[in-house]
Amino acid sequence: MHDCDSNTGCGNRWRRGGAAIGYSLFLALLAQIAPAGEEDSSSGSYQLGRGYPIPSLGLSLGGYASVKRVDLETRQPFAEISDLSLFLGWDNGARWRAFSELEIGEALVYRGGELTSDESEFEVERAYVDYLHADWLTLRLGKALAPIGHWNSIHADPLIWTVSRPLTTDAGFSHYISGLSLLGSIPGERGVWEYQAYVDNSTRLDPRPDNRSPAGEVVPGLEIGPFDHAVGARLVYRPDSESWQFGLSLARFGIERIAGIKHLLGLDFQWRLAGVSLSGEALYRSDSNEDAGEVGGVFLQAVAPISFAPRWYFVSRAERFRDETVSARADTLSLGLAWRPLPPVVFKLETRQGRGNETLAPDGVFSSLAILF
Amino acid sequence: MMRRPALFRFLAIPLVTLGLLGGTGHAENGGRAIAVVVAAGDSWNGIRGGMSKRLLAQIYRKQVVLDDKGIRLHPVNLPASHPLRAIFSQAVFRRSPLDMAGYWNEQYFQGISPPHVVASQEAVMRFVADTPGAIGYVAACRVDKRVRVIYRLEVKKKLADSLCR
Repeated sequence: MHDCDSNTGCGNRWRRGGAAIGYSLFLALLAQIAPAGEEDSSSGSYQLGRGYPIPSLGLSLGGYASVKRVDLETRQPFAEISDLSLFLGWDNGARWRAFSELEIGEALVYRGGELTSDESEFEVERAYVDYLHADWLTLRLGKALAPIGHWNSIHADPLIWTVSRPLTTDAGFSHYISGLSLLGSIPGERGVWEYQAYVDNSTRLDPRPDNRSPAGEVVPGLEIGPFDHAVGARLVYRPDSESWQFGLSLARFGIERIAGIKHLLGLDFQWRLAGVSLSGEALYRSDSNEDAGEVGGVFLQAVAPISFAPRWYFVSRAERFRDETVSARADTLSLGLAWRPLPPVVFKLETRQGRGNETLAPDGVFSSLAILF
Repeated sequence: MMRRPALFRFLAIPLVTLGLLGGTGHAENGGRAIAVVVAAGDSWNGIRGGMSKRLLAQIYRKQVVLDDKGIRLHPVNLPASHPLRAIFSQAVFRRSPLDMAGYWNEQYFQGISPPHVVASQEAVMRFVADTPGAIGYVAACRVDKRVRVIYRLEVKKKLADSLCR
């Protein structure tokens, strides 16, 4: 249990009530505008969760948004519009396509009785061009998500099951690469191998690098900056049944303004059966700089539908993470509920408790509402 | 209301059996199959030398996007509420269209849109006939000379009968 005082703002029930009313109004609005969000798209009209296609120009518009409330034991609670992202895609129907994601982060933050937009940031999260040479080879040039683990490649709030992000997927590497990637899929006997290999030079190619890290906000020393340079690859195997997948990530990189070359090994898996999914990732990072320590983490997450409450899911996650550079570690257990009234919409409620986690991932209560639009 | 479909079935099944409905190749199964179709003529270049249920799944998941000559594939779907779409989805993915929503949410985030959707089987025929690289599916009894059948998905007779109504 954490102590509350007037500064932290704990116990301000009206705020929580206000957030609840806000959520309710938002959901009511959604109910008015949203048809069932299945997989349909591209018939020339807007559909929630699939965007607005303009077939005559090969363009598509879309995005996602999320609002969240974070109440950490060691910090003042706050609520924010945490992400407001716009997707702009282009596809010439042949071999070329392009995609960009522009984001306003922390557009509005409500903390300590004040509403502010001072923390808002405009970011180019992704901007790249693809040339499809063959199914086994696509050339990608530009800024993209770092293909390290599964979580980082789908980190948007509407796609993940918890409000908080596992440190294993957050604190050991830059979330973005800028440079050239080769990617593709190669059919196997009973499944498909997918790969992405990349060469990054963010220092020269990304004029406004950004690598916000929730963990870094808590521990400045843990904030990992953008890649100075990097080479790496990710390999994923998916069987035809799509009931499971396994991924391997390798990277060698330097971080801006930090000495040393880091080597990273990551493993991840997903397994699904009858609506239940089990997933996990593990990461190990070593450093050529003797003053820097090793970083390692592993988490296991389970998501199960609640049989008596349609579209409600129970979520649990256990994680162990340590970072020798800042002599910090965290063992945490997160328990939560997720409600998906429509596939592109999710409301999440989560509590995180742990041992030795005060520095990296303090105990806390989180809630969010996220939507793909 | 019920007379027309029943009459149509009565006529269509023997016609398909006799192989009189548009070049289906395996006409003895025509009334019991979903036909995977491409444009008539020789514009279809093939993919890895043939078609299979597995390859069809990869095309409709947009994991395979180019044919053997590098022409972009354009899979076309019926609406999620269409009975044939549900049957196709179960036959190919072993999942309902709704069960695929999570997959497409992730793809959407990566900038990949699901297959184009048109309203009816007739619209599928028109789209496939007019669009280079297009691939679609209709009930075998709907096939005509505008398209070429490159694969058949066998379905149970009860389901098959419902497809031709």
